[in-house]
Amino acid sequence: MVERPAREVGKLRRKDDHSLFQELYCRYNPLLFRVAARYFPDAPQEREDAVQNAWLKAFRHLEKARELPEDKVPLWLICITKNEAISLLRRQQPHLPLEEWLPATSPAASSGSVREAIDALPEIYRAVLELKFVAGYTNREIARMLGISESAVGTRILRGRAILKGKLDAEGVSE
Amino acid sequence: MNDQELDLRIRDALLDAAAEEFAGELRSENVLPVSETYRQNMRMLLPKAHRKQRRWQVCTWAAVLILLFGAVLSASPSVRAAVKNWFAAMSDNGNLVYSFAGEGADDLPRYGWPDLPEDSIRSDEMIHLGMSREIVFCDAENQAEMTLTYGSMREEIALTLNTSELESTAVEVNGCPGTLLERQDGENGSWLFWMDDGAGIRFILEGAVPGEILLERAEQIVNLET
Repeated sequence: MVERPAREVGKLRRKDDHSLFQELYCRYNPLLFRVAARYFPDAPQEREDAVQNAWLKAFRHLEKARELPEDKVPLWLICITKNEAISLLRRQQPHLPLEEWLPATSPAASSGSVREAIDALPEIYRAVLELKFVAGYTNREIARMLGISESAVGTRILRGRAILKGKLDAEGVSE
Repeated sequence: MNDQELDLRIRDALLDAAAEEFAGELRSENVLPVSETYRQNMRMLLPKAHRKQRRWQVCTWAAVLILLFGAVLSASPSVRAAVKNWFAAMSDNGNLVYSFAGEGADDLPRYGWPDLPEDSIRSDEMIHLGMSREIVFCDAENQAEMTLTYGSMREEIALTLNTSELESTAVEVNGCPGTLLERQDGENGSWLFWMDDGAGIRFILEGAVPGEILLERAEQIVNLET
């Protein structure tokens, strides 16, 4: 699933920020381009812009890479790149709703009530939760990215969490 | 399940979802071509370029702090008595650097440019043991990295600048007295020091750009909290 075994990625934890960033860049730059290509298959300039913005964001939130389990680090970078690509698309055509920019999501292949609940979550909540809990963005950054107010971001986080918690409670998972 | 556990489960589930959603990209070894412009832009972000910029800045600060502390020490017996609040360290280039180890500057106002895109900020952190704030950013218009450093003025602090090998010009930044130092070896490189007596803040803006650009950017700095 990931490009390097976890034991190699484990070396990342001991590195200072700039060494860590260089390591991530060398390892995962091609992966991020492949992710961006899903959104910009025929637009290399936009693809580069999206990936470059993603690296800038990753650099600013490197502490998140240290918090994550080691084999999840490339997934964190994927989430950042995906959202930067969507943000770029939205800036190009701001009148289209968020759902229009998202690739069709397949039903959860893995089991797990949280994952299934997330799949059923309205996209406006999922995007905000992804940016908050995965990418590690501040509410202000999310607001700028999605073109909504900071208070709307806060509301969506609260509601998104409440929806998930409600589903988990109903299934007796959160006890 | 408490809130923290719920948030972690949400995060892990979102990451799992990404793994499934982008399984093809994760498995693939396809390398897409990138432009030279992209490579150049990324080089600015990577450690080699950053370290070079930091060394330049550290040298500047080393000179300022040595002279500053020297002036203070020779002028004020009370500061000599309080010397325990300072500590000395030898920098990489052999300079002896004195740093203030007293109270930090948590209440330092936020200065900057209201229109500076968030994406252009490389770092924004308290440095010199909390005495100063340093903002490193990429000035898109001039395609150059710049660094703004500012901190509180203390009444016992004197500032003396070593201007050898640099052209020094007295300037004003929004009515505040300052000094512009420019390299004279044909390379772009300028430092702009100024002090806002009213606000009690000293500023340094530096970058590999002509001095006039630094002056222009400095005059756009505002207190973002007012």
